[in-house]
Amino acid sequence: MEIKLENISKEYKNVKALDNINLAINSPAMIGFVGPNGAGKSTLMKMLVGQLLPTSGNIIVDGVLLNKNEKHLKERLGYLPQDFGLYEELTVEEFLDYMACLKGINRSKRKSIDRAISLTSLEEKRKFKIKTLSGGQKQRIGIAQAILNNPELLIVDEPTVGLDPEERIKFRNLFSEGSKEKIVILSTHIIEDVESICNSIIVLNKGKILFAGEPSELVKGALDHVGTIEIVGNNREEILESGMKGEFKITSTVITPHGTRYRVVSESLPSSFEKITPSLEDAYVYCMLKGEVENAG
Amino acid sequence: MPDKLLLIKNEVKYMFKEKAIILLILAACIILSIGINSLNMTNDFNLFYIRRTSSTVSFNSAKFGATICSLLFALFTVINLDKDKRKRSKAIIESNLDYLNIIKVRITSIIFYAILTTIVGMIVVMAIQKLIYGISIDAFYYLFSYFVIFFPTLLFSILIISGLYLLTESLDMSVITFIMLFIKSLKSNNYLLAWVQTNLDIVSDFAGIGPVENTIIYNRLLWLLISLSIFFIGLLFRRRYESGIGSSFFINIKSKGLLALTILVLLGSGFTYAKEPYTMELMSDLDMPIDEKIQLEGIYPEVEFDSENGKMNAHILYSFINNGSNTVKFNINEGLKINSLKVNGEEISYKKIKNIVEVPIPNAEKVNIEFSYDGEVKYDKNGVGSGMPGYISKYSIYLLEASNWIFRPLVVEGDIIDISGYYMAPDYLTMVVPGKLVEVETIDGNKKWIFEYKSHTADIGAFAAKYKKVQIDVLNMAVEFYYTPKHEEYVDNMQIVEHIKDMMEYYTQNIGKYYSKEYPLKIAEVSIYKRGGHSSENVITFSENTINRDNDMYSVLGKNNGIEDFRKVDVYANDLNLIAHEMAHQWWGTGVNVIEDIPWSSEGLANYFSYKYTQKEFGDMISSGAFLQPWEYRVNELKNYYYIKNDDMKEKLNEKFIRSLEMEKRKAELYYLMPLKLLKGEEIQGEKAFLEGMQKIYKGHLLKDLTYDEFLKEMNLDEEALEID
Repeated sequence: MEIKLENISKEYKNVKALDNINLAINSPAMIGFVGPNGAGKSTLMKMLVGQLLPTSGNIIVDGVLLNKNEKHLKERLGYLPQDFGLYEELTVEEFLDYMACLKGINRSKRKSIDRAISLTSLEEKRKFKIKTLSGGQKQRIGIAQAILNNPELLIVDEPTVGLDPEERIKFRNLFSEGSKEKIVILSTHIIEDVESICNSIIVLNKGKILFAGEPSELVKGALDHVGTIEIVGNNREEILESGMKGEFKITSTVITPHGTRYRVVSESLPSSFEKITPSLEDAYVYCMLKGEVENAG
Repeated sequence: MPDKLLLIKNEVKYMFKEKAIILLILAACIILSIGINSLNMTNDFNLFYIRRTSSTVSFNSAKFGATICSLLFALFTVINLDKDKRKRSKAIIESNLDYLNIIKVRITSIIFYAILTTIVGMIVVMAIQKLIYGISIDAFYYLFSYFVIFFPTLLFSILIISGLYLLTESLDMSVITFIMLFIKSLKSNNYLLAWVQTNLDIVSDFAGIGPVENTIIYNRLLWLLISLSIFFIGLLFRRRYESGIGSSFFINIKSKGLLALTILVLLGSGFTYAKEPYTMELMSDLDMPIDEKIQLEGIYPEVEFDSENGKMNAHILYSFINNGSNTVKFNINEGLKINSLKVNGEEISYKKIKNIVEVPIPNAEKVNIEFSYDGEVKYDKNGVGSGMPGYISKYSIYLLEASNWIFRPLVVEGDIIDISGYYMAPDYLTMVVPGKLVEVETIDGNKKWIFEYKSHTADIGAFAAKYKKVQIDVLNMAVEFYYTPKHEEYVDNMQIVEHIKDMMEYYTQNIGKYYSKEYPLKIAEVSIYKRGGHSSENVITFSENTINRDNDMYSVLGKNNGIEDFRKVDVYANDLNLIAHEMAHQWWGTGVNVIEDIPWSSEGLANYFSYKYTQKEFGDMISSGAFLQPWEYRVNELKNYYYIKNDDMKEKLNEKFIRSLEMEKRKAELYYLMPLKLLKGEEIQGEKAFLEGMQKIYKGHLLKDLTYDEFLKEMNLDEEALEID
């Protein structure tokens, strides 16, 4: 499967939610969309699933404009939106049965439902009405319906919200496994999720792509821009003031026996800071910082 | 992509699992069962205790059920369409297939349940009819009531609310708009607008569905187009890609098929409404300007009825005495097409504006005008189902002069109008002709009913059905009573013939001899499609409800009238009063020509005498409760009505309302105020003296005019004395 986004922009009453996005995605791929709230992640995802039209630009799926061939996309799509509801009066099994029919699964319906239930660990709850389940369990049903048809394109918006750490790991692995032969696009606030499974990361902010590439490249770009410093005693005002001025971003603060250790990301790291190898989270923060600086420039 | 049929099957399955639909079907069955007796739950006294038959049971249940189930199905539909928005599940559902498909599938599934409800409900009502009431089933009426009335109402409700919801994308707004359309349907007199329950109150046992069948089907066709229009408009404005109504419209309009369909059904709705073929605006007598310079002397109708096809073919000759007029205007029925028009034997061209035809005439003293016309009689626009002045159907012909089936010349009528001619109809029908029946000839499966009479008015009626004719002789007067054999048991058990004799005797003793020895009094049962009664010359008619009531009514004739029986006694008293009222018109109206001067009228006199008869038969309590009190109440109500008390305020009302208010006032004065005044006169003079005075007046004015002033003078009464407080 091949998806191309050409000069995609989306405006809401003169506010640009997406600004000239260009992107090419080929299967297999496991892509993580990251960015702050309002960056345009969900808008972009809605466009990719055909639920929102761009103000300008084209989305091309397998060589055909999406708005001319939504059917082609929807036959291959699994989608979990960020904010969703389910038919609470149905049982888990009934809901998946209903969705299977919408997805056009006929012959192997039972098998597909069993597989989705098993992959989302809902075996014990399959006969339970959805309204009796917890938020995390409902999130799992959302994932189950998305993978029901073993889609060529799986788009999941904040899929691990509400899941406990163990479940999160499980689903990360599930998406990762799936991406061996298809496209999985995952949007998240949790960098750790992206770090563990994505072979490609797209950083969005204010409707623009700040970075698109492998996570290692993002990390590489942040080399020499991440450092630590330990402030002894209570002499913290200077560093906090610099942070406030935007000279750097403090990404962690750890109280030590001698004082406080700060981890910072900066365009130009002061010499008093000890340079360290950046994590993906540091690289993401650096990317955002750089983006802000460029915008200001 | 999923198969459409599988999607519908899936939706049907999961709707069923949600239980609401089961409750809806159950509720519908209960409502339909309650509807069997819905006539007794209305305020319509005329329809109480109507005999249950397959037609009444199926129609009443379907009509009552349609009214309530329309709301229930509309609510069910809109809740279902709003489901994904409410549950925030739209994004998930829409990611699998075009949401339009989901809408279509949901609506189709609800329509499937509407069909299921119709079938289950129909079976339940059939079972009740057969097992509880022991009435045999007539499948035709069930299929008609349930698949032409009940199911289409549900279908229209589903489509209309779907369209409104798609248009407004708001559950509240769509429900409120739907309720407005619903109320409009219930309140409208125009049969075209009555999409929920149709304009029909009851299916006639006498005439069957025939006279109104076409109007019901036409109403259904119109509303199918209207509801599809609303639905397609909704689809055109369906919100797309999280856009507003305008942007969505421009996206949806790109679908050429949808746009074409919407335009097609919209034009179809407009065309069907505008070109409605069955009704017309019939002008009342009051609206017609009369040419005083020309006088009608004779009418000679030759009419052939094709009752199988609801058509007639007529050749009518009119003779006039002209005192200087250049034209004669005729009020016609728009359903009848003029094939030829001759004046004094010569074909002539004429002007036609709507239902008025203007014929130029020569400046000669004697003018003969001959019309040849044919077609289907159009009904009054606001009277379909309960106030039809004329129709021709397979088993019943009912043509009052008010339908203009014989074109009415708008001229002065001579004191005596010579009327003779014939009606020809299929031989299975018995025709009730005005005046004297001269001869009946049988020609090729038809019967030709030749009649003649010297009439005091140009009013000519024609009535036919599969009648049983009973000859009644009372005090050497000939009375012919025509009724359907279907109601013979009731006529016998409720002693209707004996009551007719009693009425004749009562009027003869208290007013005077029947006006003619030559023309027998003809009393004919007619269908309920024209409620109440009618009297013209020697023919009176009354609607079938009068002698088509339930066996339960027989208990009225027993002396142990329990509390429940009071209502039955009231119904019985009203039924007999209707016949008595129309019969009284033979004395006041036909015998004596009462010159109307509101409230003075033949209606007031007929009401007074029928009241007197009912008082004699049922006593003071029943007659007072059934007649006096309602008359007083209505007179007072109108007298105190704001816009009547404050005449100058009327200007602020619309013309239609003023007109209806004036009609109501006029009716109250003619029918209720006048008999109250006469009762006051009776109170002043004493019953005996008053009735003796009336006898004297009748004798003195027989076959002549009687004005109010003459009446007051001859009765030694003055108007002030008759004032009602």
